[in-house]
Parts: sequence; C-alpha cells; structure tokens
Amino acid sequence: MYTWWDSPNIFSEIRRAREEFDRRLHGAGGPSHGVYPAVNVSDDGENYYVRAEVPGLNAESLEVTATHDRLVISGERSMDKREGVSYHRRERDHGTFNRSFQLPQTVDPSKVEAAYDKGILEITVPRAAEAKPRKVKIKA
Amino acid sequence: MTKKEMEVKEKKAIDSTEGEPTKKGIYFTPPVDIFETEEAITLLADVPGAAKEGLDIDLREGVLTITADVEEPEQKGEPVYKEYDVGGFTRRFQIGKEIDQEKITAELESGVLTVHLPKAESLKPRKIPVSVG
Repeated sequence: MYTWWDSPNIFSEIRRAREEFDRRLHGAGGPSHGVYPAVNVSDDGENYYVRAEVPGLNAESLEVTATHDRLVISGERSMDKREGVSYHRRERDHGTFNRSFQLPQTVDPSKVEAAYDKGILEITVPRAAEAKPRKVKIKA
Repeated sequence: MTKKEMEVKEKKAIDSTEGEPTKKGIYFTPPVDIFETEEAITLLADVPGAAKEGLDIDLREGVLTITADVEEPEQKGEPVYKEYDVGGFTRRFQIGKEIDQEKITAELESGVLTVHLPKAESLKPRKIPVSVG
C-alpha cells in the first residue's frame, strides 16, 4: 500500500529499494519491477489527479474503486489468442493487476471520478470541502 | 490455471547518442507483438497517450519505422508523486518480406497501435492446381 502525500520523494525511495532488491536478485542493471500500474500524481489544491498508462483495456477490463480510505485500480489485460499465426515477437504484457493506495483523510472518496482515454487512466480525487484552502478575510 | 500478475516494466528511454530518430523530448521503445500469417505481417505496439495525429509509419528499404508522438498531458496542478516519464514512442524493424506498401493500414485504439502489412501478391503461397490429363 502506497501513500503519495507524505513525501514528494517517496518514489525515489521506492525505486532505490527496488533497484537494490533487483541487484541482489539479478545482478546490477536488472529491470525493476513493481505493482502494475505505475502512477503519477499531481495536485492543484482542489483535486489530486492520479494517472496511469494502461493500454489495451476497456470499461469492462478496468476497475477503479474508492472506499473511505482506499483507492484500488484493478483489471485484466487478456492475451491475444490467435490461431495459425507464427509469432516473431511477444513483448506486450498480459495478466491481472491490482494496486491499492491509501487515501488521505482530506479527500472525499464519494466524489472520485475516473476517465480512460488513449490507454491512459485518469482518476480525479477531490479534496473534502473542509480540507480545501480557504481565503481568510482579514479585518481592517 | 492461475492468471499471471502484471508487473511494472520500466519504460526504455532511447539513448539519443545511438543515432535514433530524435525529435524534441523523450522517446521510449514500445513493447510489441509481431505475428505473421500467409497473407500478412501484423504488428501491435503499446503506445499509451498517442493520438492519431502524432503517428508516423514508414517502410522503406525493408526498414519499418513506427513513431508515435505523445503530447504531455495538460498539467493539472503540481506533480507530487512520479513513477513514470511521459514521452513518445519509436522503434525500427527489419522486415525481410516483400510488403505491399500501398496496402499498409494502421489502427489506434486505447493506446494500442496495430499495423497491418500485407505481403505482396507475388510472395503469397499459391496453390497450383494440378490438372490430370
């Protein structure tokens, strides 16, 4: 379970740990693996935007669920089954995936929205009304 | 059979010193499936974020080059957490077979590019009827 709001450098820490692990397992320079899909998160004060590159899916094979403290991205990319063809290369990955994120207290899980376009999933996680920055009027 | 779980594979950025076609920005090597039938060669490439307008498919002297530009998404707020870089995709393949250039077609759906490369008529295996006299 990952949290993204604690530290802006959290990914580099995960990556370092991952690379260390890979080095031990496969020797230096091995590919790094993690829970699919990789995500990027941005924040505009109103919402968090969680984006993931998940090509080749559709509304049926991709699922986003939000509970009071968790956001889950799951799905399945099925393998092309083709008869009577000879494969020269098969590099595109397939299988199931399930990645879970802990949501901060400051968001409203009931208003989470997700959109899928050009193979990119974008989840909008709005801040709870009481957590939005509010301009405080200063009395003269 | 239990289903395999997918893993994050780090995107392979193209090293510009290798003399790959480089426009501005980062380019990655897309993972591909290539399969062949008697009629055609088909290539599937994962190019998430690519739009039709940014596609370039070029076949000359037996080298197929696919390039898919990806527009950096409209920046919404400040990045707070980053696990992957955004960039275009490009890759070259040596195609040994004669391809009918005129009939190459491509589709782009949900970030997957499919390129159909029909073989030239003269190279398709042809059944020769044997007449019995």
